[in-house]
Amino acid sequence: MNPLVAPELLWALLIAALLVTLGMLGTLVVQRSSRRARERRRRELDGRLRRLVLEATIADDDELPALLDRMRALDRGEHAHIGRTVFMMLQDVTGEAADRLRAVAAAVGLAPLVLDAARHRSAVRRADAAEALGRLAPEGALELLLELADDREPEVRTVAVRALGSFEDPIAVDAVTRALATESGVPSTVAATALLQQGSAASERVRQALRDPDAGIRRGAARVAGLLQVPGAGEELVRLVQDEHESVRLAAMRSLERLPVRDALGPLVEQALAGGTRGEAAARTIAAMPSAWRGEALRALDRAEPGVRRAAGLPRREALA
Amino acid sequence: MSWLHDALEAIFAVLAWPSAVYFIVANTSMLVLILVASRHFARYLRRSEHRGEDAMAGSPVSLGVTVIVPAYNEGAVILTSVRSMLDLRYPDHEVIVVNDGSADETMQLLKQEFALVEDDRDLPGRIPVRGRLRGVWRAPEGAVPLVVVDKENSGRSDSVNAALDLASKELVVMVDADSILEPDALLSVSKPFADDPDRVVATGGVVRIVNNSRVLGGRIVELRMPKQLITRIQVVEYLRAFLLGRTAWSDLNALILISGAFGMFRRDVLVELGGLDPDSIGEDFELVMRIQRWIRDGHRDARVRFVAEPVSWTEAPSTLKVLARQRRRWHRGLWEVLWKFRGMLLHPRYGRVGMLALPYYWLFELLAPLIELVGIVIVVLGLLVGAVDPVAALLLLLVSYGYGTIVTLAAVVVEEASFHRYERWRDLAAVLWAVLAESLGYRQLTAIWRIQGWWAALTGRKQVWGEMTRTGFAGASASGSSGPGQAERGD
Amino acid sequence: MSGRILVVDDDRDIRDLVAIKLESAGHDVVTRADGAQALEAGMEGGWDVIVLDVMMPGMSGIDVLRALRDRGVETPVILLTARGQEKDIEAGFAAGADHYVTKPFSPRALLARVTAALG
Repeated sequence: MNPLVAPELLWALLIAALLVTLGMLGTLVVQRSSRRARERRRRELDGRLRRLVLEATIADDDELPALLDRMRALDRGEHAHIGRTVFMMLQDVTGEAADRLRAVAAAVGLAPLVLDAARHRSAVRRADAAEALGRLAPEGALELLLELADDREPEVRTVAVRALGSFEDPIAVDAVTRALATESGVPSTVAATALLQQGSAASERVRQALRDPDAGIRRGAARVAGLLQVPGAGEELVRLVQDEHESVRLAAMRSLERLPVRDALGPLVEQALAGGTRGEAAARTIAAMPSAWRGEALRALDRAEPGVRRAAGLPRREALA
Repeated sequence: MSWLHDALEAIFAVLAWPSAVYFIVANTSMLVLILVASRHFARYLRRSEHRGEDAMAGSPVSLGVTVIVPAYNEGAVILTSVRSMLDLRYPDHEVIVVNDGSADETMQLLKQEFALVEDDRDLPGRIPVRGRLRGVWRAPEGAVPLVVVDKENSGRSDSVNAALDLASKELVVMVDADSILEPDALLSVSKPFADDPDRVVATGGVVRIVNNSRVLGGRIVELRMPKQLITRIQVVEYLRAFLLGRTAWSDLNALILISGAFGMFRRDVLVELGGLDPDSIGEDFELVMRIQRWIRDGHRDARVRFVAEPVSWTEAPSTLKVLARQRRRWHRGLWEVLWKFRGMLLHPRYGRVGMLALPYYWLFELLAPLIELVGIVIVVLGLLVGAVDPVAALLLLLVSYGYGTIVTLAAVVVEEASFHRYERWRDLAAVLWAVLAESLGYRQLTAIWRIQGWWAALTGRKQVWGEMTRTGFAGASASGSSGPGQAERGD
Repeated sequence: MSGRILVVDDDRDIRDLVAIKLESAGHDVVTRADGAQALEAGMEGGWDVIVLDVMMPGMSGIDVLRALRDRGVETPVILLTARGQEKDIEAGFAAGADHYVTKPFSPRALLARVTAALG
């Protein structure tokens, strides 16, 4: 029997394996204990500070300054904790309570930190800053968000555009609309959602965007026009049912479900008879039209493929026979 | 006995080094996957502050989702399950249940509870379905978005196809009636589609083990560590193979397996590909392979993505008997699919799927149990007759099981630093014991079962579709890997 | 006038924000964190208004509401729903809700709703 391996090699490997294992076990224990210690510290801070933040949300104008003074007097760790609490709570409330929370954020010095972070060289920090700017809305937030909406990193632009949704200023609406563009790097759903949040403030710009040369902008505008009930968008949407881009057509058809226009029926029937995904979308839109209008169009779908007929809510052929 | 001694000595002399190299490469590959995944997690977790999930949760511009639920004799859970699926947090989703010829009261319960009415709308018929349709039902107008297809028994895949034909939304997701879904499951798994709508065609999420957790109304209310060792070992396996392995493959853009217990797909792509293959025993694996081939054959700029968020919870086998059946089936499915798509193996046209993922699956998933078992037999016999150098045998043990255990431990460290789902010290101790116990018997047993499954496939016993495909437990899909690894297969 | 109000939400922040606002207006507030507990508390009776979150693990607010109405509890219920989930509002009214407030919510507007419901 020839020795295939020198025992020394085995020993060396065995010791190495042992060391690595011990190292990992140690890491596990350290990770877990430090996390638990951190959580304990948080709970302890929460016990002392949460009530204070909650009271601030319901404080009267004359009580607030005293509360804010008490918070200003706390130490840095406590300020950071209050900042986190406020940041989370701002997700849940609007109106007066949200204004109060923003005042708390200012008192514990969160705003300057966020404003500084907006120009940080790390993209993650800038994106975090964009999120915070949207929620805390400190003085100067809009200008910074507009800047971040043109950031070189798509990730930062995306967060900034989403945050701009809570600003109704025409400049904010315009920046969000531009983010719908095909090459913007911002997901279309994010920009469209921000437009919806801006609500009627975005109406006029959305109507114009229905004629934009960029297909992405047309698609996004077409998608939200119905949800926003944009006045005067009907005719444009009818035109977009025959847009050169399929995605624009689909979006226009979805909007017409909520913003019915009688003139749309002709183009819709044409699309429906073409079949496929857009045929189904067209059929759904026809079915959503007021019953007084749609009779003839539905009869025309007799010739359509079964999938389209299903989308229009039409019965099986054998059931008819 | 000297001929045995001489033969073993000769075999061992030839095979010892190649097998040592095999185990080292296998374990190192897994370790690399774990490192890739941990880099992904680090990036992912740093972005938790600004991911904006809540903003999208309420957005009416999200893509619509059809949830497909095949149900065979699910009377015990069907109502809770359908309710919890209708209640998922998502702005626009419908549920299509397929009653796959149940012998129990599944259909009656649904009719009663949701006051179903006959759905006489036309049937698209774009996807071939084998089971004869008995009827289509729907909840009344203005109630919940629910369609129920009643058909004769024809198996899970065929049932999914029947529902796929009637789906009306942009995305479809297939779930099992007994899976427990996270309330945000649809949001997390649809996010890649929203972020990159022109390229993402399929996504999958993390499936985790529910045994011993407290479940109420189809939702997890308290997560607990499973009680039995055999289930705890599976927790570790799932962690390594599902969470870390798939995250890494997705990062490398070479993901070829999405668990059938929760995969989301673009409907138009599924329809174009004709839905699931009803004859495949590994239908979810088969589907993703077909999608990957479709992407590369058509030179499409498309992606299959994995989301590192838990979306679905499943009951893992808690007895050896059920576990054995599961692993035999997985390995059989693995073999059938790998063989079917053998043309993609090492074919440069298929990019990283052909050059990286498939070789990995062939070498370290399919062949692993064979190499492992042969190795054990030779070494044990050789030691008995004194034909094997004990030092060399120990070395082999070290690079296979020892290294494998260290790799698994690395997976546990990554979990601890990222998601850390089980918080108590006792849970950590339980996980560590499971990591060790996996190499002390569990791996060897699964290797035997996997060989049995493979053998069954090779000897050509035809899979009986229909009721047989739904025996045992439904829903899991696990796996592992690394050295003498575990099968990677979905259910 | 002041009343006894049951506030149910699985999100601690929302529970606390609602509770402190209602308490500040002199109401007597009890909170619950999940559907099952909420149903139990709701069945005990003696509430003037119930503020109920829709999206909760286990038993959703709609389930709780349906169960309460089935058992003849007629207490006014105000639902808390996420923005954009119109289907929750429809389902809520179908199950017997009296009002709804969308999240993110204004505590002041919620208080006004509660006051109105107290009639």
